[in-house]
Amino acid sequence: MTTFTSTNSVKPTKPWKVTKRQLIPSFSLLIAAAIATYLVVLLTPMKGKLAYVLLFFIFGTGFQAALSWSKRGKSAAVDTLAASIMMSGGMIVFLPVVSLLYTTVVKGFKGLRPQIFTHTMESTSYSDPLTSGGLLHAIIGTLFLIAIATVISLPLSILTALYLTEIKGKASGFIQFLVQAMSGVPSVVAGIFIYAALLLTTDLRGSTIIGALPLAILMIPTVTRTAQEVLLLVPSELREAGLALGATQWKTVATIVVPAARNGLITAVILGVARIAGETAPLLFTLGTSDKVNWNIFSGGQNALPYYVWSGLRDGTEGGLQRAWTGILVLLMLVLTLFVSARIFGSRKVK
Amino acid sequence: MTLTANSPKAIPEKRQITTKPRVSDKIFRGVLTAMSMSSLLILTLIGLFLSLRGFQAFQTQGIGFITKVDWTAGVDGSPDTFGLGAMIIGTLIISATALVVGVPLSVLTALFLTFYAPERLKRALVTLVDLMASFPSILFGLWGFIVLMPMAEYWAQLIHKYLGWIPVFGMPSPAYTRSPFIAGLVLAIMIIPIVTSVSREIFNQTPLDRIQAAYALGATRWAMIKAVVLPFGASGVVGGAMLGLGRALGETVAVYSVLNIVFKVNFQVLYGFGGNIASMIVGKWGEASLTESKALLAAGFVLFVMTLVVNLLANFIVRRTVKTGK
Amino acid sequence: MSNVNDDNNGEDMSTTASTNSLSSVAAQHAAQRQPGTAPLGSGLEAREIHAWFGKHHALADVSLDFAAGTVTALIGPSGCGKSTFIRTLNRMHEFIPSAAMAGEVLLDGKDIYEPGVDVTKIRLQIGMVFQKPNPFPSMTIGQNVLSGLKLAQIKSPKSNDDLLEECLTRAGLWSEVKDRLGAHAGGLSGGQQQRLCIARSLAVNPKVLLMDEPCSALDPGSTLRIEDTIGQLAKTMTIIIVTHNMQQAARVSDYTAFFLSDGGPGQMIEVGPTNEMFSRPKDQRTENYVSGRFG
Repeated sequence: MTTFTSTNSVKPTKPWKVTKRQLIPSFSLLIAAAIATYLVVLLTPMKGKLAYVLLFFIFGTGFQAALSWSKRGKSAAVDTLAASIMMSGGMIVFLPVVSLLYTTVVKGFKGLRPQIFTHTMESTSYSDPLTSGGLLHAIIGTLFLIAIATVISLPLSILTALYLTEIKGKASGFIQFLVQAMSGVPSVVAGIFIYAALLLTTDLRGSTIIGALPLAILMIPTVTRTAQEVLLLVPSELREAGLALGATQWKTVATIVVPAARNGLITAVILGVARIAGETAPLLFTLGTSDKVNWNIFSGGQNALPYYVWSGLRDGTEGGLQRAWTGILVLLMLVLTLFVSARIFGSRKVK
Repeated sequence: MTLTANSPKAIPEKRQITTKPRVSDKIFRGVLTAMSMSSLLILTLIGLFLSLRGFQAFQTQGIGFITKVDWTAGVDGSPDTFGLGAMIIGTLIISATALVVGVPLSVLTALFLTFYAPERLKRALVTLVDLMASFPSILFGLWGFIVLMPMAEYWAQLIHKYLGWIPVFGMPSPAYTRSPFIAGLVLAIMIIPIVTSVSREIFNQTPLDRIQAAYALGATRWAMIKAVVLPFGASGVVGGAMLGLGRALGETVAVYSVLNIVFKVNFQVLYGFGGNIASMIVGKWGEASLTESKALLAAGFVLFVMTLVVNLLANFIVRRTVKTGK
Repeated sequence: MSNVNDDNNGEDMSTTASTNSLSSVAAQHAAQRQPGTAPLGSGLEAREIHAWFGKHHALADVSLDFAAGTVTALIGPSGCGKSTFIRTLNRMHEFIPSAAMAGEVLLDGKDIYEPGVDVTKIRLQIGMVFQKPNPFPSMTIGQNVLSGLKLAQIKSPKSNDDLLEECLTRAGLWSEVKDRLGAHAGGLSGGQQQRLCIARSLAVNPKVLLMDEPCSALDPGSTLRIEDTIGQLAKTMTIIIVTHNMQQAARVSDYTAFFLSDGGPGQMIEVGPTNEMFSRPKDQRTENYVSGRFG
């Protein structure tokens, strides 16, 4: 019944796509702008990299907009101008990111030797040459802190998320509000709070376990929010199936909902860990520092990667700064690994 | 099935449907509710401990704690003066700089990503922005100190040269290093991911039918954005900016690394000293006496209240935009 | 006035009756309609239009000639490409990222898809009214009507007030809103909002007006008012209207084109003067559709 067999030879096209030919005038204008920039810099007192960039932007955009005006009128010129500004704005934003990554890798790489992962700073000072010493104690300290903070915050966060998505009780609005409020607490406030609560008027001294407390406080809102989003993604049919089989709510949640959301919950935890792995300020109030690994988490100082970097920065010597960059590189690698794992877990489908 | 006029049937009462929950479910509910209340507990404790322990400072200084601009620990029996004023002003100035630089860039980026960027570039850039959001603040501090500082000094010189007649850009003497301006720039970069993310989300939700109506009338892309997207997303962007502000208010190590912390008022952003409350707490902590420590706790309480108010307002605005926009 | 009874071979009375009434309505419309007076331009012509969404071939080989000053209805069951087709006529189809097309659309003899064509100018000449009324909520009624001018940054030879009154009158809304032009558009009813959208499209003085099921979200009262408006507008422009409602097609259009898809791409099966399409369609499939046997 079809009458279009002949159309199999017709090919789909996109005539609205800008062809290379159409770009030629714009391209020549950019070259003209470059020439104009060069001339202006040559002939006027404006100098320096900023002058080049700014002038090229002004000429380039101006010429393009003028071309649009002549061909298609005022609104097209405004549109071209807006497009140029958007693209430039976007690029400006990404320069710092690129610079941050580049600087960290290039500067940190110098100090990146296998032995830094096996040595601590107990017999070296920050200004010593980089052939000695390492950051093993910082890595282990960070791992301790992450582990303790996770153990404390995970139950609270997941259970709060479950309350919000499964029970949806009368207090839900209020609790949502509280979680949002908590996400705004600055890390330094969390740090001095623990100090004020536990250390100021008691005989307790700072220790790893106390240092993990403000981190737990910072972690809870992140994990709760992500967990909530993930739990909401679990189709309600699954819950209904469980209840229809006669299971209690708690059994339904424990055996059906949570496993279904497992990947997402893992993502939530990873994101929470990424949030706190690089926190420096809280540690300054609740944890003494240390030059070696302190296996006693209940007493005595401990180092951590951000702490290590901070000390290097404060030290100010060349050796100190170099250690700081290397420490940041290691920390960044840790954060990137967490970031990538969160992506991987987040994209695995809910079974 | 005709209704007769003789015996109209009244609509029956609604039945009360009740279940007797199983014990395990009761426990389940109880545990979840209790655990959720932990957030309330923590927040209250924060407020409580900071204000109580720091109460002494409020007591002795009175309202001057906030308004006075002098912070000197008394030596050898002379009275202390703890005035947070300078640091409050510093906090506001640095945050304002961060907003002025960071919010327009974020909005431009969000518009670029939503309406201009080709698909593959968009995905790469969005990943980059999310990545930036997870960088630790100390990285920004270190980078700001080593990399950004020289550039920022150069720009500060330019700004002073051409705009120095504006009071806020004036300088009593050339000292461009480690000024609130640089701290503001670093903070601007730190808040860009948040503000861009929120703005992008809002712009993505612009109703498609209005966008199509504008295009069908012969609008260019920018004309459409101006007529449809910006009115729709304006309040959401404000909410996002406030979230960024909340972040900027409490930032510690990044500011401490690039700013020359001096506890005096400085309105001239290009001039090399200043401070914010967070970095002041960190700076003075090491050598603080007991009294001064309590005063620092009180300062922390003020910071807590500031960030709390800003954050709650921001969340309220963002959620309201998302709701009413639909 | 039709002779369908003679053609029926003992068929269902109800389908005959509906075809009867459709064709009589169409015949009435044809009788009342003056042939295109004061037409603008030389109309719109679509030649061998194909449309794809990615690999999915949605529309195949549609050729239609829309004479200036006429109203053409596009009818057919859901999903057979009518909306896709109409969107190729004002270059809205290309907003979908996976969209592709083939063929030509000629406005006054020039292909609107030629490289280098200013697409925003095309859309000023070929306007569109959508299924769901979409006035700009951040603007007042007056601002909405004039928004097309502002968006395209063009100035009308008439004054703003004159243009407002003219467009709103042509859209059949002037008497209801003339005292509240400064009120926000959101306060109007659905039918009023749709007429506002029509007025908005008129303000930029298009030669062609495309209407994608403009009444399907409205109540019957508003529908009839808009159909009146279409009748008035047809005197000065070419109108193409997609509709699910065959009675509506019979009431307002001079020509009707029937679209159908049999699982493959949508195609235009038959086109002709409306009263002929409903009384003596040439293709069996058209006959089946207009007599209500499917769709």
